[in-house]
Amino acid sequence: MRKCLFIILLFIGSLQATAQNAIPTQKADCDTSTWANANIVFSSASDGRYIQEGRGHHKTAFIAEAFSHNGTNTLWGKASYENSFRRKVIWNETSDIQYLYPYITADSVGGNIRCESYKFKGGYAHRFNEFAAGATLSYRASNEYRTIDPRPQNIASKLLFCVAASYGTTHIADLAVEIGKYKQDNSIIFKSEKGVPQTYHLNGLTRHYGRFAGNNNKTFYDGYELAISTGYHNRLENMTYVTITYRHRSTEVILNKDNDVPISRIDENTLLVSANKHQNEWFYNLSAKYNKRKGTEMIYGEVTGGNAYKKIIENTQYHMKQAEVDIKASFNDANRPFGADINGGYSLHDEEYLLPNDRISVSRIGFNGAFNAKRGLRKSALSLHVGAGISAALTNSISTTNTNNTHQKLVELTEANYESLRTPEQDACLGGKIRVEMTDKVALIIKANYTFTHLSRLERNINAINFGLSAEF
Amino acid sequence: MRRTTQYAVILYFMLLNAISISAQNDIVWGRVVDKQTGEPIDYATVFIENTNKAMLTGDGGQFAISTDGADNVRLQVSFVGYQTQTIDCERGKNLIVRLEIQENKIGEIVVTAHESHGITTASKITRAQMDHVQPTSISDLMSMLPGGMSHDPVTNKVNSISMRETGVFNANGEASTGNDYSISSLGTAFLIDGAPINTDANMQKIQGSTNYNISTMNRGVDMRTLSTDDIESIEVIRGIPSAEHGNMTSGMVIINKVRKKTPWTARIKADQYGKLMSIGKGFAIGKDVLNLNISYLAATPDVRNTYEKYKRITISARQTIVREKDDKNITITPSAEFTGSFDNKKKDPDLTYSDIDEYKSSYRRTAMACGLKINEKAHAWLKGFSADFSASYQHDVLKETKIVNPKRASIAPNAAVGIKVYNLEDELIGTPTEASYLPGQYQSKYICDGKPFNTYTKFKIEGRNDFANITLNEKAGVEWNMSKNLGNGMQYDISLPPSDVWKDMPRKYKDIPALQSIASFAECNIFASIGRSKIEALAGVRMQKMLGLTDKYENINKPYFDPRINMLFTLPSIANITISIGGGYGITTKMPTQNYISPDYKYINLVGLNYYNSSDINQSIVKITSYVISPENFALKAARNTKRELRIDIAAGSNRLSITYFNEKTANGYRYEEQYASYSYDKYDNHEEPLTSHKERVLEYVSMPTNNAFINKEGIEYQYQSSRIKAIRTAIVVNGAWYNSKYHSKAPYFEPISTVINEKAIQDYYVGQYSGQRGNKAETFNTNVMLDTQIPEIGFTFSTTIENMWFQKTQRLKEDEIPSHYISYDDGKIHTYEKNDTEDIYLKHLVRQKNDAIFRQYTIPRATHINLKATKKIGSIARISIFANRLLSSTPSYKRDGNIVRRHISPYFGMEINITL
Repeated sequence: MRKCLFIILLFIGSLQATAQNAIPTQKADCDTSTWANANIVFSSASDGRYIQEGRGHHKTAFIAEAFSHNGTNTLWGKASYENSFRRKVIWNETSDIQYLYPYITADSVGGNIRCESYKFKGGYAHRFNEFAAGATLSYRASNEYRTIDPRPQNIASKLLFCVAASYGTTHIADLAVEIGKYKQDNSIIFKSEKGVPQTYHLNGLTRHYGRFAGNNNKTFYDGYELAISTGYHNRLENMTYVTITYRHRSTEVILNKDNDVPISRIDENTLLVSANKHQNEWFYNLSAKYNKRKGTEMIYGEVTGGNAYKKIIENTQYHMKQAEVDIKASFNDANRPFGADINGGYSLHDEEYLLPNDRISVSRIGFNGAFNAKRGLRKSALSLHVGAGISAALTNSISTTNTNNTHQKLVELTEANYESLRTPEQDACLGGKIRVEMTDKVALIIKANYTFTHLSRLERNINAINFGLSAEF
Repeated sequence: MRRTTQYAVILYFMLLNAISISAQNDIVWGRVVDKQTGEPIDYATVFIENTNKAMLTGDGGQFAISTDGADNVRLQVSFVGYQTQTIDCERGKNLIVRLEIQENKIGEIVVTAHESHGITTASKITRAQMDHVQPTSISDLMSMLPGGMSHDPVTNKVNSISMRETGVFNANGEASTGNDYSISSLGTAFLIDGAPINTDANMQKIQGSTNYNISTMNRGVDMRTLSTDDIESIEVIRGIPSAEHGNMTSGMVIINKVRKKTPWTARIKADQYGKLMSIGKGFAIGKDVLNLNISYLAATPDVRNTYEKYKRITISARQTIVREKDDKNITITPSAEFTGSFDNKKKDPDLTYSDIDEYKSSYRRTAMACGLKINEKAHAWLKGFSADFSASYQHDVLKETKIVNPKRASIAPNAAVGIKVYNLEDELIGTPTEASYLPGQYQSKYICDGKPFNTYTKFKIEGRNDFANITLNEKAGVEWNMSKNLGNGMQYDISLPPSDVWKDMPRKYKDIPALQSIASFAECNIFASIGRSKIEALAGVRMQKMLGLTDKYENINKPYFDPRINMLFTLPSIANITISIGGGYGITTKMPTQNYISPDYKYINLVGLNYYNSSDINQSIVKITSYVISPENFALKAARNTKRELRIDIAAGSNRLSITYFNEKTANGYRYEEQYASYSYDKYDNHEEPLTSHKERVLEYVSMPTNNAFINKEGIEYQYQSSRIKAIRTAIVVNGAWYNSKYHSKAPYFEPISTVINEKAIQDYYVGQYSGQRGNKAETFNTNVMLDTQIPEIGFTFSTTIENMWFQKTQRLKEDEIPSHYISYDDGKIHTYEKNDTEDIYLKHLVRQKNDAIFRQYTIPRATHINLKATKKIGSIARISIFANRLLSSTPSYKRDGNIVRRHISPYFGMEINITL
């Protein structure tokens, strides 16, 4: 039973818009089960890789989950509250930089950032004989801010709705469609009466939108996304599962000025392929991802005669390509007190701003391995894991063009990001988990994990710890 | 006329009492209450089966019905939205009938506000419904009323109530601030467990600063200060209230606190604006109950701004003592409550003067109340007597310390010592000396210390008569209200004012006389059954009068009579469908506040000479003439609102549709208006000795309280509530309103023209008086659809609300360009503006050039928002909720004045945990 639930949870936990995400009832042998848990999670990192993401963080989160499966119906939900603090974030005053990069609001001062975030995810699925259908709604909202100048406040939210259907019990085909809406209201205020730094609207690499640099401190991001995913799942003894997901995102960057001026648009297309196979105690996974992001800038003329800015033309200036391939093999035998994982991967990051031409390109290769051991006691279970990894750049290059408008600080930022991308890296991790059955209905779980990362070229070490305390009902 | 009315009321009650003496004592007594909450249900129908004997329950759910001699009868007790209950009983029995809400058949919580079932148009919000909208204060609950839309908690400014109106808003749909039409909120009464919240003596203000919208003066109750955690239910009377309630114009909010045994409950709420925690318990002490609650809120309206925070703590203790005797039930309800906001020093590290600039505001209100209620069982006519007493003491302190950098050679606005001070009759009341300059930079310390103290006493008797198929419930009572501010008022060094344009002078509020008023009321609730139809009428009159004012206030000193009537006709049920048609007419009156009766003195400073010698400041000379003006308006009247409404209710099982049309007219609301007059001063010809001067005159104004705020409100409110659709476990509520409001003034008004001709600013010499209306009109139409999905087996509740504002229209009313009159500086008199005045070099400029664009109607098209709240029970003790308002929004762009207007909306979100032990 527990194993079955675990598999279902894996499906739920998947970030992809897969049918399994919306239909966690694939395992018909799960009869009736209802549970809930509450978790407190603490994590901290002493440093960060990219200066725009900050130099370390700590987070505390409260997470509650509930699951109910009864015959042909399954209902589940998860809610969480997270309070976090990121240190020394520079050249970025926008939340969700991974999502919006490079079209972010920035200044040269930055500072520590506080964040509160709320997440909710819930779904329902129903099985009609061999046919199953389900829907998932997930919502994330966050409030990031700083209490000394410059003071950004970013209210970001993302809503995803996924519907999915599957057919079959042994050989299952599934299809899922997901739509989403993203919004971020980003505004910066200054209290100082002694003068304030300029606000920039970055366009990628060493470029920014010069016309709107200065005191245009309010930006709004309005985006949508659409994903379609299909998969095949065979539930024979040696389980196989293959999925292909395509996702499209588009986000407008709007300046809150003169009836809201859309200054740029980010379009992104992503293709994900994942193949998994269980063979006795072995599990194999091959995944590949190709991501292409482009940025289109709107060029506006001057304000004339009291009229708002007039759009002259639009131009796609920024291009980014990312490719990743990962292969993984795991050994886990329920009858043996140990297991092992090994994986290797290749990635490519290629960014280009067309005119004037700036470019950075880095490809990397990496390997890591982990060993885990577990032991069951009378009313408790203990597991430990230890692992290590190494990665380095295979190829790397950078070129920037100096023009009259080149901002020297942005050149330095681009070079710093480039160094972070290509630095050799070594990491090691150690972790453990203990589960204690307190009563027939209540279990207590404690998890702890420590990771050490050394970034050779940057001569920086990152120490990260995670600690979690869960009560399961 | 007045005496005749009083005699008529007395005679009416004597007659009723006489008729009742002959009544028999074969009666079944009882009380109808809500099974879930224990709250009394007024106006429930009690019917004796197989007879035509029926009646409605009265105040407190009480009933007493004659068995007409039968020893045993079968009672049928029903109320819309509740399951009908049938009870066999003997005559002389005293019953408590507990009705169960129809929705509760499957053990669910009803999470939506509903239209009250009483004869007055009202919305009822219960504890369960409050839990479902994650309120920070009562302000957040107002979105549940028809016409309401959800909004974020606003804790950095006063939260005034707005009822049945669009509110004044600008072309972008943003609410306009200002006190011109604050009679809307001032005229909404708040009653907590029978005791009113009286704000008439609130005078906290910090003029001259636009940073803090904190003044509660003349604005009624600040709903931020009202925590919801100890409230059992709220009834918002939008229609014509009972004559028992008064000193209001718009409507009233009746708050009933939790008064029952409860387990320990705790609530923790976090959202992007703050954190709220509360705990409470109802202890049973024998037959009595003691309820204790503590609630704490720490809010930051803008998390980046540490300068501005709002914290609130509420501690409340309420005891309910019940003594049941053979002939009467006695209920005593003492309570004590403390509400405070504790904002300590607020420093901003980035401000240049962070070590000096400081702002602190605190509010502490302690209220004590006690109610005594005696329900007579044995008396034929007298059914009850009640007395309510309450007293509240508030201590508000507002402190601001800041560095002021006045303009060069700024004169101390109110001058230091010994300036020429004249009264309105132009008589010198001071000794003329030189005025002084403000320092180039100085530290100003300002304190506004207010201590409003209020007491309230009310006595009420209730009686009942039954004649065949007619039941009369009568009540009459008297009230006394007193408000006095005991604070030291505005305090600061007048030579170092908080700003260089400061117009006020320090004033001790405790020197202002107390406000007192008395009121009496008489009302009859008539219920008659004609066959299977029912007719109800609630008719009454209320008299209000202020006491102790100077005789100069002729109008305010008069008694004001408010007649009110509500009627409801319920047709016989056909196929389980019941239709009720009703309507009403009533007048409501709000007496003026202390500030309107005793407004702050205003000082007019006229500079006769300002010679500033920068090389030797001692050589500088400043001569100033000041007038002190007391802007009391002895012609002031009480503000009155006339309400009319028609309504229809259709109930089919648990489905219910209510539609109400209303029309309200406040023709004399309070507002400050600028009143111009001519003032003389010594204008100096030179700055060297010997100084010579001549007399000059100039026009200046003071703001004076008037009755010039006119508000016309009409609209249609509707609400449909479905029964729960079993297949999808969902109940649907559709509500909304069309509001058409006009905020204007018909009285002639002055408007200065700042044009300068021959080095003379026109407004110093001539100011035009313009007739015709001025103001705004606005129209809104909204529909909210709420889907309330409950799956109690697994403890899930989802509520999805789709809020639709179909349109918002606003238009500034066309104003006259040519003045009807003008005031002249040389004689201070008002002259008719003649046709040939348009040829005068100065007077021609009084013709205003108003661009047609400012009078254009602006329409903001549809805005649709989706809100979601999901609640999950975890175990038997906890409930966790997550909510997001405006999770999805659709706000199409539109064109205005040739430009595209794009709109974007940010969500409001948070989480809440409720624990019950």
